[in-house]
Amino acid sequence: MKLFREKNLIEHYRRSPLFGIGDFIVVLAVIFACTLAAKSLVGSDTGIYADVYVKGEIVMSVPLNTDALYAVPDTRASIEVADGKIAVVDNDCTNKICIKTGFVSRSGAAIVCAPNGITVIVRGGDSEYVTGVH
Amino acid sequence: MLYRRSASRTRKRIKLTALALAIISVAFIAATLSGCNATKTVAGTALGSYYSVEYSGKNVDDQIKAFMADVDLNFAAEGTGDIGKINAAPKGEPVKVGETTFALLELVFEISEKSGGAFNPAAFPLTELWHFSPSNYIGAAKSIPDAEDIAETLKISSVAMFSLDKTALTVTKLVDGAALDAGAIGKGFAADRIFEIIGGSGIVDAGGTFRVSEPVKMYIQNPRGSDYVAEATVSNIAVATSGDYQRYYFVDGKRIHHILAPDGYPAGYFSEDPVVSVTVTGGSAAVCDALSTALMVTGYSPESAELTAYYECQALLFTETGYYEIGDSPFEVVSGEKLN
Repeated sequence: MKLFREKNLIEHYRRSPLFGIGDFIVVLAVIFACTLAAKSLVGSDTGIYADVYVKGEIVMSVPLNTDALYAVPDTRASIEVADGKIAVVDNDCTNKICIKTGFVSRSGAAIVCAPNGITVIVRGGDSEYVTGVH
Repeated sequence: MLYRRSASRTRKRIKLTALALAIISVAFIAATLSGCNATKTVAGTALGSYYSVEYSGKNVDDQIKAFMADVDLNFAAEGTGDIGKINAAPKGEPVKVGETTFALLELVFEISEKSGGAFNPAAFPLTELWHFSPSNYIGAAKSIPDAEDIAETLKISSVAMFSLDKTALTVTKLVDGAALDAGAIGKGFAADRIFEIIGGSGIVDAGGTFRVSEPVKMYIQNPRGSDYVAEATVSNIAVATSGDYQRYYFVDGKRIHHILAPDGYPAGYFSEDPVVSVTVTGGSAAVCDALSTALMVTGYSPESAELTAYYECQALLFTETGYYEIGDSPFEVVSGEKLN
């Protein structure tokens, strides 16, 4: 009897297709799980930071969670990070619009020095945007 | 029987190996594809401000940078670009311009006419007189210009001082001293063109003037503080803001800003509660940009409502005491009393 059942089982495996519907469901589930895991890794919140551009080229990215004073490369400008906010605190431009802008902190906020081609854009967090005059 | 059992195990192993290979292959393909579609960001300085473009798909960074460099040169009121050459030319001399500049000027002249001159791209002589040009603005002044000088300068500060020839792509100045300024529309115009370059999908921020496709959280800058006065989640829209809080100086305690009205004085100069910031939403960033300047001049009035409706836009006009709404703005004001 046992021998008969084993023989039937072997015949079942021999006749069954190499990939069944169940196999494909397992494959899809694994891929879905992998995708979710990868997305959560890639899209994870890296915190608020500011990209600093000089004449269109990014020259530095600074975190806003650490107080510090930075010299902007290839310029005479300085930026300061304090209490999660960032500002241009020194510059040799003529109109000082960048310094007058003061400290900004929300993602999407920007500070511009048109004469010297300096742009500071706050990024990260929830990717918010600010419409205003620049 | 032993042979059959062994064959069955072999088939099982083959199946498992094939499954593993399939999973690895598909995961690899998915990872590669997602890398190709990752969001790209390109940013820089142009048109007296910054730009930042986020998009996915084919890399067009170089196209974006080249376009912004082109308009930065050709839309500038001073220098060797198209508008700079027009401004430097003597009367009666046709100045050949590029197709992009001509398209901008056609739109500029149309909106100027529709707004009854509230949006005035020919106000550059006044801009210089009030010390707001790129080369003479220092953010300070001891006095305002004489009334006589303002009246004299007003005579040449009109789009009627120029003629456009679409066939020849030329602009001819009719009086000496007349000069154009695309500052109130250039960023919006550039935002629309960049939005086309990225295939109409992404986020274009041209110095606070936006074209966006997917839903994004957006705030309106507080014109009198570092926080925000309104917020919205917007998609498939253009947003532009003008205000008196970036290019200004004080004379005898009065704020003098760069948006000049048809009377030759800063918009709202004689008003007790002037408009200090205007945000316009609509389908075209260029139109929103120009209208936000025009509404700074007209304030809340039947004319401003008519102009906004004509271009199928919506607007929020902020004063120091509250705000006016024209149309159904997507923004929810979080600070200030509604005045209409």
